[in-house]
Amino acid sequence: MAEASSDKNMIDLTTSDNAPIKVERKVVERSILIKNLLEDLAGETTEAIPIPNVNEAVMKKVLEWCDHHKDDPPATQDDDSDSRKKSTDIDEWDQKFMQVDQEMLFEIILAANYLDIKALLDVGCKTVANMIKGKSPDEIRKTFNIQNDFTPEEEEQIRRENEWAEDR
Amino acid sequence: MSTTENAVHAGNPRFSNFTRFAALLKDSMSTKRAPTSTQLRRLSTQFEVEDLSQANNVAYNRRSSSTRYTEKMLQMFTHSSRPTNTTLTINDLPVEILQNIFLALDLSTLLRIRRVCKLWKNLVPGESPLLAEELFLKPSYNLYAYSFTMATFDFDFEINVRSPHEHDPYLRSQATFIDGLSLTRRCLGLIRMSSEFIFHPIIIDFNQYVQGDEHGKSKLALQDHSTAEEVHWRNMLVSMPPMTELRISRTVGRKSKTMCTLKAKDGVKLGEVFDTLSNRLDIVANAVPQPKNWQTFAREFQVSPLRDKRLPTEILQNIFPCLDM
Repeated sequence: MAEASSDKNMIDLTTSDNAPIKVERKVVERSILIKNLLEDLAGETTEAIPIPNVNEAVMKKVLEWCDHHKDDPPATQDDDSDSRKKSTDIDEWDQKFMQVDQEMLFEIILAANYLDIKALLDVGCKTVANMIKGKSPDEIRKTFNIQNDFTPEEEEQIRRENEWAEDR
Repeated sequence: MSTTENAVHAGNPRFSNFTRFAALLKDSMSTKRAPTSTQLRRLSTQFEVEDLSQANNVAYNRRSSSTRYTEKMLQMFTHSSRPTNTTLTINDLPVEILQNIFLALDLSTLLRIRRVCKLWKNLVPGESPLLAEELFLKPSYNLYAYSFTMATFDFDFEINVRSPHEHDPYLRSQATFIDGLSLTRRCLGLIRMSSEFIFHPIIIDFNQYVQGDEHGKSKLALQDHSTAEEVHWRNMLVSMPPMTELRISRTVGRKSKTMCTLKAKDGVKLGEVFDTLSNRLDIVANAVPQPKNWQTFAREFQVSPLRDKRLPTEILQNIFPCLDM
């Protein structure tokens, strides 16, 4: 019905900074949000899909990940409690992919959450978890530039209550 | 079917619905950041009259609730409130994402990061049932889900009658007795068999916590300050899923005798276990005049009337009349 002169397998996106991006449908469908949207619109849209929360730089990075993972088996329907793993092992390619500055890392996490790309969100969260592991509260604050808003007494109180769990 | 505010998108009828929906959502956003349920209801009644309800119905079948879909759509057409000129830091992430990050951490790290800042302290566990489960505070599922599994655990310990202070038989302290208390290995064998249970590290390394440090004092006994704080070992469950019944028995020689059974329909907590154990030890410490009498005393204990009593005071009140002193 729609006069889709362009390739049906290519999808147009517009990022928050109004940059047009053309991307293979299979790649962009790693985003459940966009996948559902495309299904709901049943291919009748010829306009670019607006992505008002993600800028071009971040979107390109996200699509790079989607492209590398476009042939991954689809995520199982199980709710997060089942797929939840204590392991913070990250696949080698993903590790390299996540070697970006903190701001970009958080941007990718936000975009993955917003676009509903669960596997990418998981990799991002695991990357941050690995940055937290094995550090003292003070080192964590330095790493992430967090202000300590406890009084020394308050902090000591929490420390004492959980002393048993330390040096394990 | 058309509304007034959307003449701009009059081109493709399907798509104009799509964008009109966006405009509706933006309208509701301008007043309040988070949509209230009434606002959502108002929105959904509005597009029931419109073609877009079709799309919404499709989504309804796919997901558990249409509200979730509306929220997503709402998010989709909303620019984030974050000012673009400031640097994005970890605490700018939505709390659910922070909690998702924390879920990848183990128990001791979770307890440690509660010291980083007030936000993190409040988020661990915060409203997250999964984090509460990680902290042994609550199972994330209703307990009925576990009702078919075994929920009784035998917690077996021995009272060692050998005094660790041979050179000073009159020196008596609670720590002396705690030194002689141990969780038998037989029990740990049982733990391995029931792999569907995850035991609290304090239970798994029980000996480490009661045998005391180099000063001869029990670490756990010393650490027991006020428990106004919810995230405290005393409030933590013995295992996950929780044990609704925990039998404490004592082994003397080859014989094992049940001392008491702790029952709690929401699961037995570590505080209850340690209160019971340390009360038993206090009784031993107070009632025995000299170390050489411990053995006789231990024999008396075998006719313990303490079955099914769980309050430490009751235990005290029940034990003293039975003592032949």
